[in-house]
Amino acid sequence: MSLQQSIQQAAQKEYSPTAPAIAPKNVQMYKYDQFDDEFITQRIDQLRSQINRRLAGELSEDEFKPLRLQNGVYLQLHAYMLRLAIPYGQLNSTQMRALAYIARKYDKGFGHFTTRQNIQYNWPALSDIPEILEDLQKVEMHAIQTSGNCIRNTTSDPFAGAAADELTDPRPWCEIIRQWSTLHPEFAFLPRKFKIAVNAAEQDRAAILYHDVALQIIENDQGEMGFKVYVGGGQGRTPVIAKLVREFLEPQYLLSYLDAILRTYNMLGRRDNLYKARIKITVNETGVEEFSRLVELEWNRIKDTGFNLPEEQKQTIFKHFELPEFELHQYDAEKFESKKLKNNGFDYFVKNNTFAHKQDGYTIVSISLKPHGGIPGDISADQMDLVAQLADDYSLSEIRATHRQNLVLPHVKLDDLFILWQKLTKAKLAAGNIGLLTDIIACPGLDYCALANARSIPIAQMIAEHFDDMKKLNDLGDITLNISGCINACAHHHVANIGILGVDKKGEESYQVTLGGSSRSDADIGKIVGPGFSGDEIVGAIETITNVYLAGRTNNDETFLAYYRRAGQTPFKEALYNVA
Amino acid sequence: MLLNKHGETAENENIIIKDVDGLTLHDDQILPYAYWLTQKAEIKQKLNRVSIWLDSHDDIEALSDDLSSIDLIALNFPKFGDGRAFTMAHLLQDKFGFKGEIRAIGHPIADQAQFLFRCGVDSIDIPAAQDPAIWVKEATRMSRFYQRSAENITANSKY
Repeated sequence: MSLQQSIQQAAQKEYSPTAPAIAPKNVQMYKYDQFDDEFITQRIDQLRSQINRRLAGELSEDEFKPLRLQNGVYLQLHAYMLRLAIPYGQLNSTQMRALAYIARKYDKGFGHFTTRQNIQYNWPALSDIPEILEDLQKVEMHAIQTSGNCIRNTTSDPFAGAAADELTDPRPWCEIIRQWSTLHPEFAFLPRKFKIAVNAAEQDRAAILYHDVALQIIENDQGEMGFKVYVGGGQGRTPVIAKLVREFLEPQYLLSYLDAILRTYNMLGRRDNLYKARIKITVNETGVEEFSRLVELEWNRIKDTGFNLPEEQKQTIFKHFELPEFELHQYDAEKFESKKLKNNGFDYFVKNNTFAHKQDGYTIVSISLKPHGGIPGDISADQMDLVAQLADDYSLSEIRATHRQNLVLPHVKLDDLFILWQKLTKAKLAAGNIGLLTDIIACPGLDYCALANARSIPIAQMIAEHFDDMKKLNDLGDITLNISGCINACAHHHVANIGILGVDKKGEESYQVTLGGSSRSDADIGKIVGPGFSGDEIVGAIETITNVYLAGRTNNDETFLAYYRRAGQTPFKEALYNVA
Repeated sequence: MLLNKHGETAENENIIIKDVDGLTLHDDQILPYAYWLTQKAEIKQKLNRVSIWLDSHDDIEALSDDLSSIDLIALNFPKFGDGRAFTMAHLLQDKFGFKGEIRAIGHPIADQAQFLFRCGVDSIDIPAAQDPAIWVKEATRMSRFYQRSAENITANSKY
């Protein structure tokens, strides 16, 4: 079955071999023009020739590596892995159906959503990859710069363009950055990878302060919009919170300012040690004052002569993101409340999985990819097709991927919420645990990853199975728990309220626990609580930690993090290690 | 063999000098940066055409006063992953207004050719034992760009 056939069948439309893959109507997202399409064609041709040269032995694995990486192709434990870009986490329903098709045809029927708002396939054959990319091109997607020492996919608020608490829609700015950074000739061989995140909301749902560059959209005293610019955040072996380098950047200078940051980093960043090559180390070693002085110096040189996106072209990009036409309707609040009373599951779902929409009568719905005992971020092809259908039926054909490895339907009418929840329940996608202890971020770990020292997924599953009482989970409330299988920290364990790091201790898996991290605007890095636990002990340790919190909190409004910040590590140490 | 941005090749007449012991100066030599710094006066006096090469860690700022007396600057790739030459080429042309030839030498790979040209490099010294045909192909691989090229040229670029 071809991609078009598959999409049309999934969308329950009559198949016509000449019809283009059905583009959902009026989705508020960037749409490719002829230029973008030709660009992708040329890029795929290039990768195909690189793969052929590699297969013919003309390219060494060493030389092939940066090329395949810049196209999202990794070599993992068992096979090649392909990571596709979902720019700032936004998808339309047709794209989701294409992802389902790829999962069926080239993988084992699954996809894995990542903490970078991207999706990974763990089992593609190298020789199939150009074909996969051609299928993606048909739905306006690609895998460019999802890996390698270059500027990666720009990430943002998964509720962008919908959230009640946002100042403005950050997506057009993300798209401007996406285009500027795509095959930027000067910055394709940086000292190390480079990640940019943009947020415009009050809450930070994109962990922007842990990115190489964080852009917070703000309004100054004159009511003008601009960027607060932070540099040098990151996780991995050395977690660092990004530092402020500019209080207010006028938006028309965004690209020249980014050029200045990247150029300064490209020259100063260390190339003698892979583990000291990220910009966070450059900023720490140079000092943030000196680093920002150098950036300002370079920026002042180029701000008027270098490239900034002309206003007219900026407007063209912004047009793609104009708000959809929301239906004005009065939702039936009484009926809604009575459904919550009758259905515990629905009540939890509304409480945890919805967020205030900017339009009255609408809500933002999160779909948890952390079902009871499931693999965090994993989704089957059938579930993808279902999510696409639900997006068509209830969310103006739009879907988002979040950095916590969940999905979002951003524009759902409150009147449709109950039926949506029922349909999600049937597909085992209705876990009402968003933001709760079992909304775990986990990396692939030793089950898939070539770098891992310990298992992550099975630990996440054990914890989810242990904490399976929704009442207790809701009582514990807002807690983040992340599990990384090695010090590269792909699952962001440093910034979770409860972080678990799997290490190899004399051939045995050992799990180190950190407490007190946060990836929101009150960013903080978790601290190790004491000696590690074995795979058999770790669930008990988490139980102990949660019991300390429940016993010690002043009231239900004191979150785990607030309690930890007040009480410190002592009560946890005492309970975990029986020390007085 | 040399490659230019149009994908044309030419014989390389230059010799990259690494060891300056007992060196007799000649116009077709590309001299080490450190040697240039100490022997500027003599080199300028003896040669009609001055060519020097910089390693990726060399301080390009220190060269800015001398650029009018230099005809060719070669930027070395100690390994292809060291991407400082891209920024050095940009700075030479855009910041310091260098009008001579900029060349990439050492160990770049064919897939970097077009990036180099777009950053202002004029010629690439194709590493020995590599098939020039691949370099010719890669030099003009893409004809769609999201950025302007060196000197702010908009041909084939989106903006």
